[in-house]
Amino acid sequence: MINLAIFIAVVMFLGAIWTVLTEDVFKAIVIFGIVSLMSSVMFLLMQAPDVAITEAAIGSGITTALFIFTYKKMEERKDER
Amino acid sequence: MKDEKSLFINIVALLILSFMAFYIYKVSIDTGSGIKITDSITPKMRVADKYLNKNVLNENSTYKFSQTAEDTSANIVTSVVVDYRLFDTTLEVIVLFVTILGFGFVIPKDKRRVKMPSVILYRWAPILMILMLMIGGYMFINGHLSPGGGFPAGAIISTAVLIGVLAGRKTVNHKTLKVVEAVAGISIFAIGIASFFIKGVFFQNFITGDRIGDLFSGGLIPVFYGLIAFKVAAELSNIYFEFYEEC
Amino acid sequence: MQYVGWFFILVGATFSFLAGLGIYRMPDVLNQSQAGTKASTLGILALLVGFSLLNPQASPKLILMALFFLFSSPIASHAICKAALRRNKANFILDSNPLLKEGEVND
Repeated sequence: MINLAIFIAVVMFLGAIWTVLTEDVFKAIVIFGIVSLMSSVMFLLMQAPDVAITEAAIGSGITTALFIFTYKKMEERKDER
Repeated sequence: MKDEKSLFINIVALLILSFMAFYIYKVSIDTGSGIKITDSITPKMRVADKYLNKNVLNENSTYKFSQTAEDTSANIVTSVVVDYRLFDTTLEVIVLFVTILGFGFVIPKDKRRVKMPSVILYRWAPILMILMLMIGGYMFINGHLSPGGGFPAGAIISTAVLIGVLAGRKTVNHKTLKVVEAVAGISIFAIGIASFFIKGVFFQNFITGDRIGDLFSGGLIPVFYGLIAFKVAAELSNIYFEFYEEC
Repeated sequence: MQYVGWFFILVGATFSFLAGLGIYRMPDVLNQSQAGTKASTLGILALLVGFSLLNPQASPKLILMALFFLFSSPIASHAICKAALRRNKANFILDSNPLLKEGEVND
């Protein structure tokens, strides 16, 4: 089990760095969702299923949806100019 | 003039701070927490005794079929969050409410008509919404038996409303959601105050004597989780409605 | 019974990997969504069938999960493709035949 934890930790680390350094905003939103999913699996490995369910529901459903709404508004402002 | 005014303010601030430090020292000596001068000083009143009035060995004990205060429901996380420390959970509900209130200030008032998405999405969305409502309902009804509880159930039910909004179906009225949220929030505190008059302790579970593991066990725990789930779902659905009409 | 379950899990893992490989190698959004949806649906269904064979006590929940995934995955790919078309991100070529020589017209 520790190998899986190390693999997930490395993926989270690289994903977080990639989110900040990328130039396209849409790509950053998608990678943010991936980091949230990895943290949900990490919670399950720490034997906390309640927190894992909550993180999966909120990270993939609510946070990504709100980011996409904001991104759409950003694009409309760019098109108006 | 400026130097005298700032000197005066500084002296007043120093006086207030010294009073506060003296009071904090006196309280810490009385309650016996933190600053320990000697071990022979017995505390007169402790914060923990006022907050946590759970006695298992008494005849009038609340917990007849359980050994400790954490055994009232089969899921130990539920019994800590909703029965043992319900006060903290209600404060978290208040924090969520204040956050949503902040959203309402940011979003402007002009609304436009949104374009209708494709026919396939419009026709297929109710099936997905039914499945999501089923999953969310199962999760908060069995909150005291299996992992889950009220908070992720509220998030999942609000995702069901989100799919409806994205497909062009506005199923719930805007005003109904606000009424649901307000009623759920008031009910939580009303039950807490009622338990204060019945049992003498704020937020105490006053339905007792159930068997651990049943569907109807744990006293008021499923009721609280249901109210929390409805409140969270109504708040998040409000956000989706306002965001989607605005952008 | 165990060997059948492990075989299904192997099939599911292979097809999921092939779905990812297909998304990496395809040139266009529409091609990528084709590869992703078809292969990954089969992969996840095979995985869930394998799990339910290995652990028969939890099979109703797993079958319900498989049904939910089967309901929601095609709609998601439909929405993605429609959004890509609306943004003109799909550079697909309608009428071209790779077997024709230069200058010939497709009738």
